[in-house]
Amino acid sequence: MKSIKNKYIIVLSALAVMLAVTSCEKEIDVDLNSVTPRIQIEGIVKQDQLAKVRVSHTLDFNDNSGYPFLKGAIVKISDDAGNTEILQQDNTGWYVAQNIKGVIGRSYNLSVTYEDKEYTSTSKIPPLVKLDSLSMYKVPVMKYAIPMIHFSDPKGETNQYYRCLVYINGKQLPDVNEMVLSAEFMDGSPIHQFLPVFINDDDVDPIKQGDEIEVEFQCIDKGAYTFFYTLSRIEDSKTNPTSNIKGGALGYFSASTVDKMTITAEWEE
Amino acid sequence: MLVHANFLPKKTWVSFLWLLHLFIIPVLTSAQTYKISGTVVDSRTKETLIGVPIIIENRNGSGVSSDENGKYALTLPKGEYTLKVDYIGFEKKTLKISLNQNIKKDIELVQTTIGLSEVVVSAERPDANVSAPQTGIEKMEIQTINKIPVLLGERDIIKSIQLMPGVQGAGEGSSGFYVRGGSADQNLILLDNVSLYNASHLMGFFSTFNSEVLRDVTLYKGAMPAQYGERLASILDVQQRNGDNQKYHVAGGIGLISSNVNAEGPIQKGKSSFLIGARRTYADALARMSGIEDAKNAYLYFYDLNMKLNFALSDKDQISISGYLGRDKMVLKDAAEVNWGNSFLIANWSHTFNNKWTSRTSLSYNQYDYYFGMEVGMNLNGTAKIKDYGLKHEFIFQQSKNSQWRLGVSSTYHDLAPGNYNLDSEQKNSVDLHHRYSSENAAYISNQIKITDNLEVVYGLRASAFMALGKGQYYTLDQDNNVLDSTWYKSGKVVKTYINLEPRFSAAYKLNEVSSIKAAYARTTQNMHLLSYSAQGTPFDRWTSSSNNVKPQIADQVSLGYFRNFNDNMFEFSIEGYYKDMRNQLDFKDNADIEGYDVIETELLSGKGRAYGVELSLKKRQGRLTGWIAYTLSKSEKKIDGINEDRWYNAFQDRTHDLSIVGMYELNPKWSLSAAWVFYTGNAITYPSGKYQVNGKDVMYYAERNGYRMPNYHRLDLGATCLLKKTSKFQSELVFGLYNAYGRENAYMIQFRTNTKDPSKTTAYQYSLFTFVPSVSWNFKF
Repeated sequence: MKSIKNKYIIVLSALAVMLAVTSCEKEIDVDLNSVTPRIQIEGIVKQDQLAKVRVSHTLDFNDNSGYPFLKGAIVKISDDAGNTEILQQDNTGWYVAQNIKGVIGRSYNLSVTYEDKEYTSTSKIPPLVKLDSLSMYKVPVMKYAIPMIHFSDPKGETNQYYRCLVYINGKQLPDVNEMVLSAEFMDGSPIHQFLPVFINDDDVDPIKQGDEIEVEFQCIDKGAYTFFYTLSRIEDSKTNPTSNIKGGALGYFSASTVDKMTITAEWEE
Repeated sequence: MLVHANFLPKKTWVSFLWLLHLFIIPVLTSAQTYKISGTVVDSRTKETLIGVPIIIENRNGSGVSSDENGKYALTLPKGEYTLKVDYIGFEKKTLKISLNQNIKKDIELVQTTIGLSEVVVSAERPDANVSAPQTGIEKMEIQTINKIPVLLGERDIIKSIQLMPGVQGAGEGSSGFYVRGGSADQNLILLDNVSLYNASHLMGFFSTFNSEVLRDVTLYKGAMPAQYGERLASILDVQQRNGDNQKYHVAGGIGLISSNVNAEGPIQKGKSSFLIGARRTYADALARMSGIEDAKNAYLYFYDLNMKLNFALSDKDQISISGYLGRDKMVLKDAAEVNWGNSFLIANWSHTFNNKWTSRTSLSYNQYDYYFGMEVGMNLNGTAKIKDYGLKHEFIFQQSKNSQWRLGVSSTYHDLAPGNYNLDSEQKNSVDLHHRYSSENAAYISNQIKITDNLEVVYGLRASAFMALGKGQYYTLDQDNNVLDSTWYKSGKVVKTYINLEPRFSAAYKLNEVSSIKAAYARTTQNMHLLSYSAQGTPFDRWTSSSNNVKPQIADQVSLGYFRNFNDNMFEFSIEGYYKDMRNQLDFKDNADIEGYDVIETELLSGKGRAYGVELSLKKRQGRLTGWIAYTLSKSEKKIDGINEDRWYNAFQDRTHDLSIVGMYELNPKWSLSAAWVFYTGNAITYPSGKYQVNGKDVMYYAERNGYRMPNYHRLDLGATCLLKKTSKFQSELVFGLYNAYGRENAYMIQFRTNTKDPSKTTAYQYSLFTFVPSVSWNFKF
């Protein structure tokens, strides 16, 4: 159901944008209060890739010095196959595992201890579902086409939640929302979903003819889905996304499958 | 219209009261004196005039006023009398009567003002500001509304009432409004006594009211007499006018964004009439202005149809039938469509028993629905619908010239269907969210009485009984809002009843001929709640009704004010303070799931609210220059456990200062000018308290609910009307407008995000709509 309304909200937004007669956009300065920084964690365990965790905290809105990679956190990952590892911070700032990798069907526990507080989470990798194909869809009121994914959701509750990352010529665009979807309403159905590659810059098209578009298609669990879904609604709700990390940290811990597919952007004008 | 067998309330005492009151047949008292009676009408349009004072000369100012049907009646001993009729906007009239038998005398008054629009004035005494006992009321005449310059030349009652003290608009492009700190869904919007669930077109840029077919607009700001209820904060009572039952007319207007046409005339001359109005916008005009190249694939329009039929069956019986049909459509060809609309039909029967008793009965059907559909890859669509079936009956008893009673009952059966979704792809699937049925009933008694020369009071009691009914699944929740278990209730079975007594009181105490003090107290309740995820509201917001988990909203409001008129009622001044306490106010828990979710109640939190403020107004009602200044200083807050760490926080509609200055000037018989300047403090809004990163992208961090303010809003609108031609057969005028004349970029939305050109920074962006928007429209009447 969320995906249904998600779709029409996207279309409605496009229509509302049209209706925005003589609308103006301008940069403004806003005086915002400083608050105590709040800890934020990103934990990622992708299929066949080493687990990695980023420990950071919030910055003031006008602080553009760069998000910190906090040092001195004790980051531990264990799985339900009896493996445990303490992750070491490497020169990228991420805490990276040497041994523990994402295995389909396994459940992972994360524990981060920083400044005497512990934050924990659990995430499980669902069975693998792969993309059947990609296509390009030309949106009626826009000058470019957006990618569309096609896959079949297996019947049953073990596979319900999916997430797509889009890379255009190898890069993610900074202001494009990721697509997360739930197959609750379409359990067991073939699914055709467009990916909303819309950006705020009116002068530039995010996708041009000939661009190489890579879609990373992930199967995620309910806790991660809830985080990403509530994150996509943050403009309306003005509340922090529901984190699957206990202890008061912002952020998420997501163990997922990975399937990648590429398409060259081509469409009829 | 009464298709459901169970709509009558099951609760015994309400049925008993219903039956009992049907058998109260008023007893005719035989007249020892003679009666003069008739109808007061506008001499040109034959439209009935309400509240016209008819004074008997040399009898200490005694007399009567014409009632809601324009009728008056005087019972006097045999003799010679002079009647004086003096009413704003009309020439004074004197009648000499020789009373030696019952006489029927209709009174025709001649208009004095110029202009195309009807001078149809609402029920008002010339010194109502000082003497009318019901306070917290704003009345607007259609003629005034038609002069106020508005966006794109679209006359809009809802935008116009926002210029009144205590009433605030929800923001640029939104048709919602807030009354005395209440939220947008706490206003009952009535068109011919039927409540409209969504009174706006095209995401709030226009309202559903076609002012060409309206007669008057009255807004009760919380202190309302007992015949009104069902919403906490206000009643916006809009009445359509009657068609001319003597001659045919066609009138209309062609504007930049929309056109309208209306036709009226007799069905049977002198006895019955019809009035039909239609209005539509043009997608083309909007698309052209939006500057999007591919606009031919996008359709954006709305239409409105209004209808009113009147039949005078006899001297004592009148029937009227009102109807409305409206729809908004947004279509992206071959991709998506959304549409929504209201429609209703109401039939009224007025019966006059004698010169003291009249009754009114009405039957209505009302529907609001929306549809959305998507055809990109998969075929998905959904609808939601609300259906109301209503029955009302009221007696009006004119006990004496100083005392009038109203007794009545009303019953509405609600059928709320929150959503039916269909997937049509390689597989088909569909979900039907459970309907919620309920019965909303009330019985009331109210008395308006002039106790002494200086003290006039309106007091009454409204008893409301709301019943959540089956069929349907109702859930029991634990204190953390998790579902414990559920019960299935059969069709018509009562799940939960809420009975509330709502006392109402309002009094005016005249200090002298030109000034008074007014005080009021009212308790109001509300059982239909609008759940909106965004503060602005959309046509797809979900309505829900009180149930075993959701209690009725209750408010208590007190107000006290000082009222003074100057220069023989030319100037009206008032200062009024109010305080309102609200209980069972709803809000969503953080990250609530409202879409497609059956057990919506698990997502709701409830708490309390309070609003208080002072309203000042100075109006000039007569002369070539008319207008007003309205200023409100106020606060509106909420405290809901689970939100903002259980602390009081500013409601979105909290608005410290709100100032409106409106002026209308008759330059000469041809030209009239108008200007309106508004200023208000920005809404309370949640700004980020910081930021962080997810997957390399900036994410905002929120810590203070509604802890900041949008920038202050101010705007000047200018308008001019030019009367082109005026003969008895044909009239036309040109209306010019300039919205936001000094081009202030008022913030419609503020976004905090990654800088568009420099991704290493985050920046705040302000979006504004509508600067320097000119408009021209041509109106005509045959």
